Amino acid sequence: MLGATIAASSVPDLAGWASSLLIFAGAAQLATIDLLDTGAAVAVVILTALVINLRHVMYSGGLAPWFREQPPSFQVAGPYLLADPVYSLATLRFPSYPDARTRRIYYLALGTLLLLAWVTMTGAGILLGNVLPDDLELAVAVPLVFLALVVPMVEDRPTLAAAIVGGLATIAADGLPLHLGLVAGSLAGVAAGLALDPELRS
Amino acid sequence: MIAWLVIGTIGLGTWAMRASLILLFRDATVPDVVERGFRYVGPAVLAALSVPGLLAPGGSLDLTGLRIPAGIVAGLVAWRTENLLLTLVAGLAVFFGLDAVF
Repeated sequence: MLGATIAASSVPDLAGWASSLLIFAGAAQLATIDLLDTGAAVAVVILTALVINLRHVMYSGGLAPWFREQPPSFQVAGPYLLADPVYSLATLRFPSYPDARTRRIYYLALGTLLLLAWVTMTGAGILLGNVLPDDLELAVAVPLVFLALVVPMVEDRPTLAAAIVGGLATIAADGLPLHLGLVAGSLAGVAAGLALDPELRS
Repeated sequence: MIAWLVIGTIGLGTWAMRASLILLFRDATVPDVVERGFRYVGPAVLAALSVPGLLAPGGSLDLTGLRIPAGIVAGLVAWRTENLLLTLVAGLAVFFGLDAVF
């Protein structure tokens, strides 16, 4: 999917492929390619991708207690591999492992394997995308992928409110320059979630 | 060239965010308010990326497009299965199926 989008876009195939190695976060890569292709301002592309990846700050906070027992070099290099599935699996498995070394090996093996698989799949997608007919309306797949990613994140009323407000406010804010409607809409969504947050209201 | 710079910068920024709290909270815990706020970033941003592409592909609201039934079916499949590939295939099938009929 990402590969096919890269192949269909005006972004050079090699740069698009390298994004899997350099960014290693599918949703942000997809948005980056999409925005670069539509000619959005450089600052907006960077800001949007980093806003999408803000959740990784949360992952970083979630794993911070487990990283305290690790050597400093791993505390700096390890987070490079901290993609969504690495975070969820590490959170799930770490408590059952006996020591810091076992956890480190598990984390490195899992992260490296996923990184290699992701880079390979992106490359295959680009090659496949280049043989598909150009007039195929693949653009419709982009919002569908984001939809598939957002639905599992809706777990309760505040997350539902964040998603609905985030989506609709972005349409309402479409008139803002430089694609800033995306940022404004997202912030409105976060505000809606926080307003309904059970822990902050009590 | 611009694409390389943008992708490289985002890669660096993404690493910085992934390392941020691990390095910052080596000896402390994450404050509650911060953690609660980040909880809503994912749903808000991903919906902001998805919903306009389905309801307003041309920029303004368009409730007659084929992307809407495709999105509804894909949303239901995502909800029931939480499977990305199935969701995408279902949505595309509805979109291209209706496109062939109308």
